[in-house]
Amino acid sequence: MRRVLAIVWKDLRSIYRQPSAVALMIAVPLALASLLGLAFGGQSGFHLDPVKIAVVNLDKTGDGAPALSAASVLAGVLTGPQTASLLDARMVATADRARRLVDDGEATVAVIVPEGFSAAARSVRGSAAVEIYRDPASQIGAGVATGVVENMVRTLDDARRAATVAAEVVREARPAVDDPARLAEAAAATAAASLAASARGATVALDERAPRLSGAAASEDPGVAGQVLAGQMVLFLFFGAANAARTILLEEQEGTLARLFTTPGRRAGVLGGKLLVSFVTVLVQSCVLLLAGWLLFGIAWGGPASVVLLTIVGCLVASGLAMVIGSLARTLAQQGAIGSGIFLLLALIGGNFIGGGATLGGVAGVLRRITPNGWILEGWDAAMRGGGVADVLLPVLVALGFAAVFFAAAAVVLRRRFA
Amino acid sequence: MSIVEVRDLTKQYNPPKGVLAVDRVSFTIERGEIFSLLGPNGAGKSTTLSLLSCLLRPTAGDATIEGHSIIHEAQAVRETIGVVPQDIALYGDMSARENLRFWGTMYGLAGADLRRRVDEVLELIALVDRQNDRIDKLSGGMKRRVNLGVALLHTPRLLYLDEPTVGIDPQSRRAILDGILDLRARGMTILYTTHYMAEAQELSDRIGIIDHGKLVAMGTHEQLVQLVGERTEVELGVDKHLDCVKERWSGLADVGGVTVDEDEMRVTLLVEDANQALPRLFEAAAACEARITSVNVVEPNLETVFLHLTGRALRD
Repeated sequence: MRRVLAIVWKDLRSIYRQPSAVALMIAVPLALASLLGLAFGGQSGFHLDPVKIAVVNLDKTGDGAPALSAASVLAGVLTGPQTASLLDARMVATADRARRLVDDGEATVAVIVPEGFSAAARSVRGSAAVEIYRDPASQIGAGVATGVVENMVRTLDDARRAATVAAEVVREARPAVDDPARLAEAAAATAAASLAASARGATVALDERAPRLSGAAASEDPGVAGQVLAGQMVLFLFFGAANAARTILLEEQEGTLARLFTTPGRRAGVLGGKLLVSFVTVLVQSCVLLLAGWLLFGIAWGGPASVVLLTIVGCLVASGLAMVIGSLARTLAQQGAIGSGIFLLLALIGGNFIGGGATLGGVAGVLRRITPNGWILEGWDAAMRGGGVADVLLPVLVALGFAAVFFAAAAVVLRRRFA
Repeated sequence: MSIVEVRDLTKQYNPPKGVLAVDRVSFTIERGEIFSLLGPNGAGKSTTLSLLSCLLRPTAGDATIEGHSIIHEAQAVRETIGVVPQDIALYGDMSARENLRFWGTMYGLAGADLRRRVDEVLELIALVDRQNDRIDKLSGGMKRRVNLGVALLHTPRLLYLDEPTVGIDPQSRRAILDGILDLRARGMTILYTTHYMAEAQELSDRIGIIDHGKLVAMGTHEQLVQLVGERTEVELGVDKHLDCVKERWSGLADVGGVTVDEDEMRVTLLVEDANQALPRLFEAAAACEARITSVNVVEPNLETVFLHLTGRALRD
């Protein structure tokens, strides 16, 4: 055992003394995560500042009416707390004032509710158009605001049409109630009230993933930084392991491997030491990246047990795969080229560049699950969402299966090669 | 009892049609002896050492080291031997001391024993002053000394040296050769491979001449030289038409082992009587319109022996 530990210690010192290796294993994934984090506003999650809009309600027909008017409901929702995370709305008195705010860059969109809007919403054949005056330079912000308004107007219009149809039905079924206009008006008022009621409890979410986890904390948002760094970490573990595995080829080329084989002790001990080097190298790399992610980006990686399981299984997979490639390659150039190709292909298929939480349907979803990194990323996503050991167990077990296959293959190839 | 007994040792790569690197080689080495395997590059010297180091498995035959079979008792064999490979097999990013410590651990040393042996070996290879320098920063000769020192850490009873003086300056070579003689004086048995005739002649108690995987002769220097008999080696410089000259000289009576060095424009051959042969050699060269530019009559030595036995010069 002392011989094995001596090999591990010697190789670890050698690997972590190389600035290029440390850069590849730790600095590059952190730099990539930082760049992507900056691209998303330096926040731990996707963050969009609320869009500034100016709202004008020119429809006074509902004022003082006992029932809610469509115009006041629309204006109320746009300026209310329900949409506060998306819209920073302010009421202004006139349409000109609202448009000027957009022209001056103080608002991205002006929403102008015309006079007679509520009446049109109540009538069977009435029409009214809400004017959207938008800053042409703003794509995302104006799109968000326009989408919210369109959605609400469409809801009102749909309610009116439904009420009209219902009134027609009632009129045909019950001739005694023969005033469709009154029925439609009553139905429209009911729809407006319904819209106002639903808006109070509604939330607008950009992330439409279906919840998959059990437990009370299963809905925590892992944030973009967590997803990105998890993806980069898993990818660069492969490169870190490959860097460690290349010591076999390097030592073979430089003659030290043959010399090691002339010392007392079994060859399996030397090769086992090399496998252990690869594993310990990426374990250190993982710990540094996890710590850096927590300290620099505030990433909550998950519960300790889940993090330990995922870290270990990730390191086993990476070192096992790197050993297989290292044992099959005849030269360092071969190992570098084949390894890089396989790692990047796995990363593309497994979703390292989009994170484990991204929903992949169809063939992409199936392909992701044939890669070990895809499973590990799913595990990290579950852990970061607050999932417990039960939630990460399946990804861990599947990835462990991959690791077992890789290590067995590496052992067979190395044994044949150095027999 | 011999410390090494080699019996019909054979190594063929990719049998049955692969290269026969070692072909039924047999020899013994007595305790405290320096035994050299002398032969040109590719003769099978390093392969023989690899087999005796348990790095390669023989295709046929066997060998015992202190009675332990290289096939069945590799672990015991490895504990007995120290191997100095032909190329520098050290870690360049580690210091001389760190290398010795690491290799000492590989040889099973630990604690105070390890520290003591590292210090002793550093003294022996005269690198105490440079012990903390990275191997990369040492001269070629110093690296060779560390390379040798590694194999001495566990005080092996049998030391293999595979062409340890290749590519180094004369002073370093002298230091290594003196070191080897010193080790022999301390009772260590040494198996030495070289293609330098002078080294084999100076160091060895006995020499085995190997060519194309076969051990073609074995004995002391004197015994080997006697194999040549009364024949004399003659080196002749020729200005042109080497092929024609070689053909004509090869056809002369009492002339044998004609070899040509085209780069040096030189022909080496063996003759029964140089005084009688030289006029005929001049005539034959003239017939080829070639001129002899130099003549060197060499006293019989291992080079002559190799030429006599294989028909080729050792340097070929």
